[in-house]
Amino acid sequence: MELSPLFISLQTAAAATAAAFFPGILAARWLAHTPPGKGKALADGLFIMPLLLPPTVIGFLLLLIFGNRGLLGRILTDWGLPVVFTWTGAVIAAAVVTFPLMYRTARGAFEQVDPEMLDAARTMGDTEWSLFWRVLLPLSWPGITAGIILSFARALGEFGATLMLAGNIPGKTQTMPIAIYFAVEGGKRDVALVWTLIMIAVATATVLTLNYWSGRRQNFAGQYKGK
Amino acid sequence: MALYADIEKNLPGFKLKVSFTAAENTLGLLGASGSGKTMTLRCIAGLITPDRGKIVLNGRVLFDAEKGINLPSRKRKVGYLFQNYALFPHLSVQQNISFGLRNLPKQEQNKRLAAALEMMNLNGLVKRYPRELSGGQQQRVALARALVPEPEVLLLDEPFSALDGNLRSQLEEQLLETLEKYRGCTLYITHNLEEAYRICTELLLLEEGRIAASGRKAELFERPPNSVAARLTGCKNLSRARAITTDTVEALDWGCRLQVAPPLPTKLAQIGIREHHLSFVTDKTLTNTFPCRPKNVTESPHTVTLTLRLDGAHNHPAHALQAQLDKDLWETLRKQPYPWLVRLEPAKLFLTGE
Repeated sequence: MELSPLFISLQTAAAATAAAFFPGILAARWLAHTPPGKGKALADGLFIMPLLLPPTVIGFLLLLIFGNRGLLGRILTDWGLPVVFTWTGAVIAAAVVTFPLMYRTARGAFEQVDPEMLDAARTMGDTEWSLFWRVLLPLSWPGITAGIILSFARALGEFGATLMLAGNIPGKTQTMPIAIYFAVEGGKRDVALVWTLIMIAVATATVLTLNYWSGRRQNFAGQYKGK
Repeated sequence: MALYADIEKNLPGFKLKVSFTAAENTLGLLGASGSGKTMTLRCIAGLITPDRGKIVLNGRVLFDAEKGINLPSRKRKVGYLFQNYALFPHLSVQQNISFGLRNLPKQEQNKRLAAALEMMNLNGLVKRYPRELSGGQQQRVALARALVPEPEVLLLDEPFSALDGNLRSQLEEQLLETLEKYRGCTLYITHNLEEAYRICTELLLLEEGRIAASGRKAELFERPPNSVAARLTGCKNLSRARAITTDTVEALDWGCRLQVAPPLPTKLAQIGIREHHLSFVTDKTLTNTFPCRPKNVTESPHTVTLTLRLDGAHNHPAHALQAQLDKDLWETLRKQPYPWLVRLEPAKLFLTGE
């Protein structure tokens, strides 16, 4: 049995999580401590959208953007960076679907931080950028970690958008969920079962890691452990 | 060394409009919760932007609404001690104190850190984390952290509110020492009268976002210029007043006529006397002496507070006179037959205008 879907899945999920991480925490930072308003509600809706839309819709929208008829797609193809039917495409699809999870968990974690901590940093000469790294992020780190794990799990299970943008190219864009689908369709039920068991094992490991971290997080809230 | 602030901030349901100058001493901001004390401090620190006005610190314009100047907090050189200290839980004592020093050369950082640890008596605690410290230690770390960047103004927001009584007086002494060494002005928020009196040189009395009175503390306590100031400085006995002659006043709420020290304010509004200034006498020919009976007695560890009704007066219970006296005086007084004689000595009475 070809094992490439496992590695492709892990690589894609890791890359997608990394790609969603910075935009996610920056979006969260932007909205976490701003007062409620129309702009905030609109931005929040937009950031959450990929979670609400069916993955096939995301996939189709991404095809419109990155396809040969899309402006961005044409430019990228000219630069020798095609997205459609490539591993890059799989990463982009998973990152877009994953982004809302990263953003939401990070925002929740940021909102738990006492705003006076940030004010204290401000009066001691910190810029917004530096207090973000020195105060806000370390204080919300357990929550952020939970967000990273959730995002990774979601990226690992991504199917619809990935299939539409990156297709099913064995050894290149075929991830585990896609391998399962095509195994069943091709009548190879035993192969599908093996992949299913592997997926369950990976999901279990993820849940265990998450629980471990949320345990640490409670510890953190009650009494912070220095190091 | 001076701080000048003239600021206005409108929020739904609250309006702050204050104007004051603070010199190189401790200016106390005294007022009830929600009177705008913290908001004033936050405006000076640049954590809230006022709608109108101007803030100038030692000749540097920190904020000027008309000219569109609004220096960010980090450039204002203010030291802020937050009510709950806002120590960073993920940083050790040493890291907390050095937080505002990172733009200085390493050598200077170490020098200042060492000096602060020495002054605040924190030497054994550098490696600890805030959660491992007692309330008093946390307060000292927070104060050290605010002081080491050598701010031009020190803003203290109720530094003792999170501490219990015993610790309070001990730390208060230390704070007084620290403030004496500090060259710059200090704004000190409190709603505790006695604390304000002990620590501050001058006072600003705030009510509902406005300054009710300001000045040197002794003067404010002796002659509060208006009823708000009288109340905020802890005066329990206030009555509406009407002038009868140049030195006689009728206290409408107490139901008596009183001789006072002239001159009367042009628009006499109220008359007041502090509860510990009421005296009990045996000679009924003295001025401002009235027969009375106690309606209510409240005992504290060292003093007794009496609510009095003057004989023949039909005043509302809410306006009853309150007297406070030492326990031993009370032991003598309680054995005497009714009516007792209470005296409102003219020199202790104060009159407020509108």
